[in-house]
Amino acid sequence: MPENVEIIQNKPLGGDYYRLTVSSQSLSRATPGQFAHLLVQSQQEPPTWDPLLRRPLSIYDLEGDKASFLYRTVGRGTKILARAKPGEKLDLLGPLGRGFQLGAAPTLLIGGGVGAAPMLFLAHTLHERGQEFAVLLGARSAQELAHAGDFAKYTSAVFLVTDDGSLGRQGIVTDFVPEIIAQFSAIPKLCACGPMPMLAALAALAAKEKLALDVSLEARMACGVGACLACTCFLRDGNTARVCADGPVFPYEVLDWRG
Amino acid sequence: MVDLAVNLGPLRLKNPIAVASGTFGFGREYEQFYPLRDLGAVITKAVTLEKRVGNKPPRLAETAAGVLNSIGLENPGVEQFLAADLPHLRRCGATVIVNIAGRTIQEYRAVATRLAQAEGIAALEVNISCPNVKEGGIAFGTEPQMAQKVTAAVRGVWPGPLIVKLSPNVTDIVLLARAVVEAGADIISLINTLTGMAIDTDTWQPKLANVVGGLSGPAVKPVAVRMVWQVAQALTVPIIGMGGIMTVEDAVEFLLAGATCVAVGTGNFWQPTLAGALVGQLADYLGARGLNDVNQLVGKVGKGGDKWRNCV
Repeated sequence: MPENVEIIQNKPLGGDYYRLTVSSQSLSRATPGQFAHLLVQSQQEPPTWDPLLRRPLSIYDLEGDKASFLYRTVGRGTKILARAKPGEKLDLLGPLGRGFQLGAAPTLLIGGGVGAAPMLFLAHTLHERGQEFAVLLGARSAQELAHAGDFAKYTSAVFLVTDDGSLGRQGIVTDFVPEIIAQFSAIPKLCACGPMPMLAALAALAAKEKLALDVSLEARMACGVGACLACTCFLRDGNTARVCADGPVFPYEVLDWRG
Repeated sequence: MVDLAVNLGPLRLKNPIAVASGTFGFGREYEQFYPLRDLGAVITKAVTLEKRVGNKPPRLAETAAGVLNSIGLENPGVEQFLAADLPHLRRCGATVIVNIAGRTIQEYRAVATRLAQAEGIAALEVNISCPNVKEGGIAFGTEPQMAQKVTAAVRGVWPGPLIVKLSPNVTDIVLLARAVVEAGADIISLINTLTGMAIDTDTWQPKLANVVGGLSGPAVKPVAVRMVWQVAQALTVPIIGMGGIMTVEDAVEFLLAGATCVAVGTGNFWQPTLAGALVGQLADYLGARGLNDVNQLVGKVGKGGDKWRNCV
């Protein structure tokens, strides 16, 4: 059921990044990798249906009934969301989708840009389970990695990479995966979210090195619950899957990585 | 007590609130929000003879108070629909209207023939107006003679109530409506999406992989209301009105324009509880005005031009 939630915080982090925290009963049962579908227009206003559609945001972290989201202001919807103030209400649907499958294996979490969004909740959960994991975060520059500090709460194994070398090492995340894997006690499973070129490069690496890799996909969504088939992705076997309901997390080998 | 039941020719519905094809899947995803039997009808996603995987992504682009889509009739095919989806809808107690599509007249006839063998389908809605498939769809919907042939072919094999869903992408909607009524349509659905296009000014690429798509949502509502009104003025055929219904007032507009039933489409994406809630809101709208029958609204729009008469 949609829930009218109160905004606790909606904080600019630098770059175009924001962290939104809401008080939500429905999201308190979420698992890492699931998302919420939000109406960005504050419920204090009469609806104008512009923007019309909800915005799917991965759950960034969850503490009791406080759920947070990491988002970037990339379009009209997220820019309007950035104006929402603490105390205001937002209409939210969730938790939606299938998240990360948690196993016993050590895990390397990889977030490219705002693809860090589902990773903090995953780090939080792995930390609570006492599992071995590390986090690799990439962005264009230091300005877009303000969220990196959030991960220190759950692990000291955080590796940072920027395109311009302004924070952490210079390069792209895929350059550093092999050497980070080597530091684990056993070969880890990879869990990744980020731009498609990054995910495709990781899929190629996983295929070559026979690694397990789960990717969280991003897609334009309308209904968010699996009915409209707008967010469909194509699978290797020629079938389709709904990113909203069958995903957003998929084992990389079921997906069709041809352009 | 307000009476919400409506008759659309041979089709009787418990209330005039339906959900529009393609926005509601086969109902499963929306059961969590309200019982499907509360609706006047569930109009299913288009069913074709064979399974279809649909168009390449991206299939969606938001526009001002609207949305462009190019799903491309992705569906599991008629056999899977009959095996899994129809039985499920019947178990939910839903009144089921099955939307059908095809590439050729033979395909339309074959799907309708197969569905005629099944129990529990209240009506067929023939989709002759999908803008998102290259073959068939749009030509059937924009050329009166083609529309007539498809309608007649389905009429020949489907004995139950027959709805034809028309495309708004025509110069004269009455011409198309008249053509399909002459060919045996009992009911007209108005409107399917308006063809549209959006371009990303950073990449200079179309926002939809299919380049063009169908526009829906509040942005198209005035066009839809006008077309419902035009057809209602010209013909006696019952009309299911749809296009950007987000509130009970929107639904009432369509009824006043001449629709006997309305369908919520894109509004389901905005608020998944919407269609279920509109049933009660419509009763409240009528009750607040001392009306006890929803049919008292149908086609009751004034002639316009009387500046002192803005309210009922």
